[in-house]
Amino acid sequence: MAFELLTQTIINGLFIGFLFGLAGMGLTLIFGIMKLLNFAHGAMIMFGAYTAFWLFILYSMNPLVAILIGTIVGLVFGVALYRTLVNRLVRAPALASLLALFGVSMILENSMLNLWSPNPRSIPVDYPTLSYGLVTISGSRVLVSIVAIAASVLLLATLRWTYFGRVIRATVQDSRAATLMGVDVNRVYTLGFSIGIALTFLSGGLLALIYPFEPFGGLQYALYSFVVVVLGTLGNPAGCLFAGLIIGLIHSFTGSYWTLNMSPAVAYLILVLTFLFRPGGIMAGRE
Amino acid sequence: MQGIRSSIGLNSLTMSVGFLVLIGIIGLVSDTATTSYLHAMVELMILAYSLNLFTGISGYANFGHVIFYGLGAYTVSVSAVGLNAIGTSLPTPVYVLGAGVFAAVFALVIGFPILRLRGDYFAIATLGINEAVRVTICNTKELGEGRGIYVLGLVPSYDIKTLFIQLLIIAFAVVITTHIVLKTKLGYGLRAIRADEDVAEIMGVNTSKYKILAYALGAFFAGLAGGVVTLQFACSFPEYLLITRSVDMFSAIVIGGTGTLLGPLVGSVIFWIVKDALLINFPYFHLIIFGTALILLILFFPRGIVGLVNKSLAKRGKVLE
Repeated sequence: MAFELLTQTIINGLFIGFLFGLAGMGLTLIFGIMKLLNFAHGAMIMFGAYTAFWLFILYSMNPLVAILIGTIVGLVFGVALYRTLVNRLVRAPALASLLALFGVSMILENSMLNLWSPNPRSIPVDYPTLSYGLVTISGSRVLVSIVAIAASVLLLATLRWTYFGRVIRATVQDSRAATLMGVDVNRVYTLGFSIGIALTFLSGGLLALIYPFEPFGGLQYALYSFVVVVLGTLGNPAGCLFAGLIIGLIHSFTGSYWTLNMSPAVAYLILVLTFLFRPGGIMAGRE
Repeated sequence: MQGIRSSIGLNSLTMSVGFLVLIGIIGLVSDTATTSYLHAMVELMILAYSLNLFTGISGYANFGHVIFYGLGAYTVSVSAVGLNAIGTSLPTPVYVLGAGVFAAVFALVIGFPILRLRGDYFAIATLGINEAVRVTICNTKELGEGRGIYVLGLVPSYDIKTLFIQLLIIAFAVVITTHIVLKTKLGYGLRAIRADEDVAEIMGVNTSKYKILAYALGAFFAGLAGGVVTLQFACSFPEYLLITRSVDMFSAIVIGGTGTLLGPLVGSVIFWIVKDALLINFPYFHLIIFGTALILLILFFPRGIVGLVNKSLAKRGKVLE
């Protein structure tokens, strides 16, 4: 029994960990490129979940197609938001940009409240569940993890091997020098920001497959994402994925052996400890 | 800057205190409904001033300020219940002062690690600690979990006018403290940190000392306000630690003008009136409108109303101090 519980806890932790990692990746990409913390991250995760939910309910789409279209909606939303607001915030002091993005978060959350009511919603799909004795593996979690891993690998490969990725990394290292080398920094910002938002929407859509969601539910996921990106070194997508797994395991172990309610508090404790003892995160100094 | 140096300073302190006296008189002579409306406004004002003491002047985005308000509220209820268990109690002002002191001590303890962080990192850490404390309270049996701790009968019950007077006293204290801070080395040091922390440090400003001092000072006043709210409702709820309240304070100081003496007062009054009017007229959309207004304000009037007034006054050779 004890062994089964342990196995189950580890499996659950890893599955949710990939999702945490993906959710953090959108945040850390934007931070890495433009040194801007997306304070509307939680609201955007929920918005991604609702977008997928609406496509699924109204047009009875396959959930995966709905999530994919939701990701594209996120991309368009990101471009629009960058062009109207975020380009003015890039060089603003931290206080101003955080508050303005908090304003965005307020608008999104209350729009969701009006559009979809405060009731928790979910995407009801039944994927087959695998069981080995007492250990069960839910099909939807496997699916979510596969999509999350695929998206993460795609992003990392793009950053590593394509021209666009090189341009982004150059901008991260020194935006002024990149400009001198002929990089259109404004375009890199636009693309980087909207890809970050698209990843956030994607993680929201995937979240909708395994957990119920509500308009104001974003805050806790945003806080998990903050912990993940800080632990995985702000601005480092690969570290973020690794940190996502750690936080996923911690989340799941707290749930199994203590109480799930305390899981956020444990996560923030880790955040503060990271700040205290390894302020650069686990990947500090490695690139 | 030549114009400002030779300008005549309008006394912000007189204006703030005068305005507060006016609010106080209106609140004390009018009916209960108006008094409680103004009571809530003055409470927000105290919180805005206390946030302004550190965040407003130094530019550090503290998104977890409401924690001090919540801890102040819990200090009163926990000590009242605890003392009742051993068959004793204390006069009310001691409870409220204790709330402020506990909040300040907590700020000193968490301030040492987190004040080393800057910008976005600091904002994440304050938000994280805020939620960690709230979640812990919600899951601790001794702290009443989600239900809160009731102190009905353990502390004297007051009518709204008496509570209003208590808040007014705290409000006067925080206005005068802000004035003193702005006029002394602490205020200059914090403003130097806002302009450029590295340069400030090189020039010999003891940045870490000033930061923690202002952080604890702000926490003290927020704790006092939290102490009074427990007296008002005879209960302390975990809802007192919700981040939405931090946003209210932030909006108030941004509307008024961050880091100024008059800003939090003007900002809280406008915020309270506008928010209330929006809530009544557009119950479903008021926060959407408010979010939009906040964004526009930050983009086009980053220095708030005081900054706007100063701009027009500067042409006539005057300036708000």
